[in-house]
Amino acid sequence: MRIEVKDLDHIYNAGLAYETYALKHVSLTLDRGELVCLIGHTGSGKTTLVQHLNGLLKPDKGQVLADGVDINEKSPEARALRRKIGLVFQYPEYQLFEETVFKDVCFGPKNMGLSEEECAKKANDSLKLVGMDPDEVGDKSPFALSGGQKRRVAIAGILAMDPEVLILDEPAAGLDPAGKKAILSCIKGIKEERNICILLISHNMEDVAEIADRVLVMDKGSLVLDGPPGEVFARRQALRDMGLAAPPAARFMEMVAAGGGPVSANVLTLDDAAREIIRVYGKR
Amino acid sequence: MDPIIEIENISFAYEEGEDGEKPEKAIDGLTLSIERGSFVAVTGSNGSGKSTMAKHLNALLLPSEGRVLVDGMDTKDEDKVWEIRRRVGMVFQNPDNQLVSSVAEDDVAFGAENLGIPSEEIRQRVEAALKAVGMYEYRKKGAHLLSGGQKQRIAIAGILAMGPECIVLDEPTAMLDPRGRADLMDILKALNGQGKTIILITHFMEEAARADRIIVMDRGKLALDGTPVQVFSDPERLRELKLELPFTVELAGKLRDAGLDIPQGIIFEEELAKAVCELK
Repeated sequence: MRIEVKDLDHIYNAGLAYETYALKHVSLTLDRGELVCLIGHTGSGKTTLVQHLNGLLKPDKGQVLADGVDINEKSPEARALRRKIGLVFQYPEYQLFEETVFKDVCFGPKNMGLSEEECAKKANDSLKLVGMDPDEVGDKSPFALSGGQKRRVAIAGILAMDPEVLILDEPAAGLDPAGKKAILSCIKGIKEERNICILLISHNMEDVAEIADRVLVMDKGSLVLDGPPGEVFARRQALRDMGLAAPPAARFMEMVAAGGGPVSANVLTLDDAAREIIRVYGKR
Repeated sequence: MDPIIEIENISFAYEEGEDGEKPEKAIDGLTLSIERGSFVAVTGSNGSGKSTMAKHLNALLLPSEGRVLVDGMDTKDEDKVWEIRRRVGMVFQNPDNQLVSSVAEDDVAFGAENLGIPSEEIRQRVEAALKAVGMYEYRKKGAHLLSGGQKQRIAIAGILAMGPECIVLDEPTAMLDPRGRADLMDILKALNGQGKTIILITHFMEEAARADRIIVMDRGKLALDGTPVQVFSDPERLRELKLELPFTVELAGKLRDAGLDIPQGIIFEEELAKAVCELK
């Protein structure tokens, strides 16, 4: 599936004295198989934007097209397309409600009218895809799981509906390092296994530098940067002006360069930084 | 040594679930004491017992074995509970769950009002507390209009207005963006500089690195206890405990492995950058 956002505006309190543009002239395209990270300061419009992508919010101007069809149309076709766009909110574990993990994951496919057998298959596949053993956790109460596990169950619930676009709003926030690692590797796994488009909102530049194919940067309701991580993170000054930090590796290498070290600061990850320092200072 | 809090061999288990399954002890024979005026970071993976431990520090939970003393007062002593809670304030993870009033300054005044402090003094305390967290200009704002980081600062101001000696924060930055997180750490360092004891529970090793002392918990027990330099000097052990190393410590390790001459005991970026620049 291909998502096209065309010249999108969203206005809060339209017509009132304190009318504000939450989104202003946003245009972008998302393609199958891409892992895209959306970053921006608090209040920059990230969450408002993704809520437009599956019709939770309707644009005041502009369009969201899925495979060329406006998802806000009132046709059965548009409705079917909206269902193909799965949104995992922040802290999705607060939305688990069923008695067992298995039932919770089945909830979506069941609502889509699938047979019990099909629901079971989808639930089992989805649980496996997020790294959980259906035989082991299926009958447990979701509330008996750890925070990171609950969150993976919530993601499995969305995966069970076979989305072609998966949007995750800060999936690693508030988890311990082990839980965070598990979530990130689960997201990479989903991308490889299903070859769908994944859009991830994140505040953690280290994670973004590590997993993104492409980075989108929002500022004050506008999409201001869009490109591969290397390109986007090279725009240090622009990012700083928006209150965004570079990944720690880049920030550190800038510090070394400022201290007179002849290194390049164009690195994304810790391993890149180590290689660059060893290249310059090793075996001399 | 002048401890403000002494934890003496405490154990605690949550009540058994409906299925009658007996839960493991969340805290299992923990002993430690917190020096007055220190900045202590407590870390450990999920389920290590750090939040449970924190809730024992101002009698939100009482130990099933052992005892906790706050300034010499036993938290089990019902007559002392309010005095203990006045001295040890708690700030939690979710900023949205902690504000009780619709206007920032009313929220800050709430705790102090409940202590029965005269209103003139409350006004002074609220003003000072708002200034201490850099929120004075927002005092008339509606709480719902504040960002997560600003809400956390209001929550801290509310505790400050009660005049505590010690502030315990349970992952206060987990839901904040990087800027909100950095601002909050600066405020905690400043409060510590003014003599407040700070106990910070966190998963962020960069935050823990700024403390005087790091306590690592594992399965309800004390796993590591030392200065940041001591704790970070054993990467293997930290990995076993499912913890991350701070960026700087991990990078320094990689460079040493490659044969570069990087001194031991580096935990801050500035130090490592300097060491790299000094390489020949």
